[in-house]
Amino acid sequence: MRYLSILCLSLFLTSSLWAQSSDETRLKLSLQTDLLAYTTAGGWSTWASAELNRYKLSVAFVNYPNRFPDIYEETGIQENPSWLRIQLSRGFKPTSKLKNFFYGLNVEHHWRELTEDNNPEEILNDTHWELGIFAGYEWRPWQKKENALQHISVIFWAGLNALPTNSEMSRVFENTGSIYDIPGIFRNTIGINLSYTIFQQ
Amino acid sequence: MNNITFFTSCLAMLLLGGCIEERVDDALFNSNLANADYWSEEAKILSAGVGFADIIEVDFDEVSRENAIAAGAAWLDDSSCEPENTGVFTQLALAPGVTILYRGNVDYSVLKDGALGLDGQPIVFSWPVLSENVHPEDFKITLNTGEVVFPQFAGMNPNYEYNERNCVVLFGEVCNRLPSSDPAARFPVRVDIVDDGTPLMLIGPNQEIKSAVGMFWETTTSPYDENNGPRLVGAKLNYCGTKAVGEGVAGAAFANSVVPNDEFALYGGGDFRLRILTTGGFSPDGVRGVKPTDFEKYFIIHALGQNGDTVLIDKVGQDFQVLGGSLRVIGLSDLGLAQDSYDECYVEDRDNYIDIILEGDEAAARNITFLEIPSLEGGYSPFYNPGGPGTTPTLGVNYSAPGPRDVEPVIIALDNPMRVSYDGYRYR
Repeated sequence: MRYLSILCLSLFLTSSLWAQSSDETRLKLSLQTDLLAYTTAGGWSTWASAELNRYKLSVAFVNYPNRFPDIYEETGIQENPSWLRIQLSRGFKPTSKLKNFFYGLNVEHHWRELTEDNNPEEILNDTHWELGIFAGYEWRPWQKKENALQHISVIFWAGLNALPTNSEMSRVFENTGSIYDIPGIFRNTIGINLSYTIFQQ
Repeated sequence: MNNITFFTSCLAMLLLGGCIEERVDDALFNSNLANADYWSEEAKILSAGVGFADIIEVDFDEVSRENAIAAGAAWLDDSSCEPENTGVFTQLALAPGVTILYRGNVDYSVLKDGALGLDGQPIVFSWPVLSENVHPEDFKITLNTGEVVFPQFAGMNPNYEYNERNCVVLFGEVCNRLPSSDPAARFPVRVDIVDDGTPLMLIGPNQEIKSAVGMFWETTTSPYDENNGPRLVGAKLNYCGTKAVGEGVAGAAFANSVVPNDEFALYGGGDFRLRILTTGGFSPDGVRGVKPTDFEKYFIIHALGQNGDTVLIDKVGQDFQVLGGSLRVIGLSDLGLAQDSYDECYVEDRDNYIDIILEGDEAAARNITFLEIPSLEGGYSPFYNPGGPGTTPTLGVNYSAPGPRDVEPVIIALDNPMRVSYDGYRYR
């Protein structure tokens, strides 16, 4: 119930923000991918973003196998998560020196798969929510070009996620007795997104 | 909405998620088990006697000598430990520690005989429990007075490691400090496991899950009877293997306090682990912890000799020739952290398990027969539960008694390890 409450509150916040951002009318739609997702074998990510004035709402899906290689090296247990991320951000005024910076909120639903070496019959699956704040910078190297390059930008962002249900996330492989321990309640997040604007009004 | 307002909203969202109180409950009551021992083929209660009276969840502001004595807990006047480390001076436990770690609610209005705190009663099962169903309402306690009560709290602490969890600890108002022969004595004579709507479940051989409802345990004695302190209810020999599966894990809330305390952390491993299961927390005096170097003070291992005689293994680091080869005790584990040396300030987990780590020949290990606690009767040191007197008892206060001499048959679990693992999440 508490997770539903958190989600409802975040959605309420989202709608409130949109309602209060009616002083300008500039819409931009873009597609993105997080390049860091490709740093692991089989990893990928896809994002869709809608930006109205200084507010941007993004929906992303990320697949990131073997997310914690150090744990895998120590335990032989591989975490293969994927997650749906709803990211709400706010930028600064176009006249501000900080106009390329933004900050915001992440709400994520994670699907987690755990596999263990030498125990192929046993695959553990579960889900959890994460909430986070982040800040970022959007770099538009070709914004003054008159060709398609002007639609490309690179977005750097980093933040901190909270795992409200972390204490419920310890799992046991019954065949071997191996334990995947409780993660910390906070987790760093980072991204380097390649963005292409497909519509701008 | 300006930038500050927006950022504040974001921060509030993060805090809402992140600052929710860490759910100790989730870790202790998740039903997880990893190589947890079952101690017989049959699911049953091995012991359920009350351990000690009055010293738990006491509503004082601080742990001090004055408060400990007021509650009837022992205080070590002769301790040389750091004064701020009050946990090594007394077993007095203040509120709301139990409220955080156990399920239930405190009710001081039912305390009797001048008690300021609750009594402790460990219930030891032969099979590990699925902890998600542990509630105070599972345990109906009948006192010698005929009164029927339920405990105020039930929980897994301190037997929280995933390879433990045979023992549920109850706290409530169930006894006073008088021996059973005293007409005014009050103590439990029977414990029944009852159906509270979420029956207490045990798991054993071949992942068989069995309801504990209907099980019961009876006694006629009080822990304040002479020599009626804690004793053994199980001794089991397994291979150490290559890692201590299930050790030291129950959640981040417990990390680094007394774990890792397994044989690999203390000795780099071993050949055999002789795990003992006890009726209550073992302490040299009720307050101090058992040290990894204390084998010779408390234990003797019996084994068959080459001529059919009995060999008593009673020294650490010495090879004993028994039928099938030699055996050597390395030391004790499942106590506290590894240290360069161990003194009276050593902090250990005070649970119902102690491991004796051995090296030697497998054929020899198969000829281990019994584990003995000679106690005072055998000229050794006794074990007390946390209601014991310490070394400087207060005049006029009744403390729980030392345990008797006890000899427990050793289960040789080298072929069938008699262990079970369970992933609680999978079955929710």
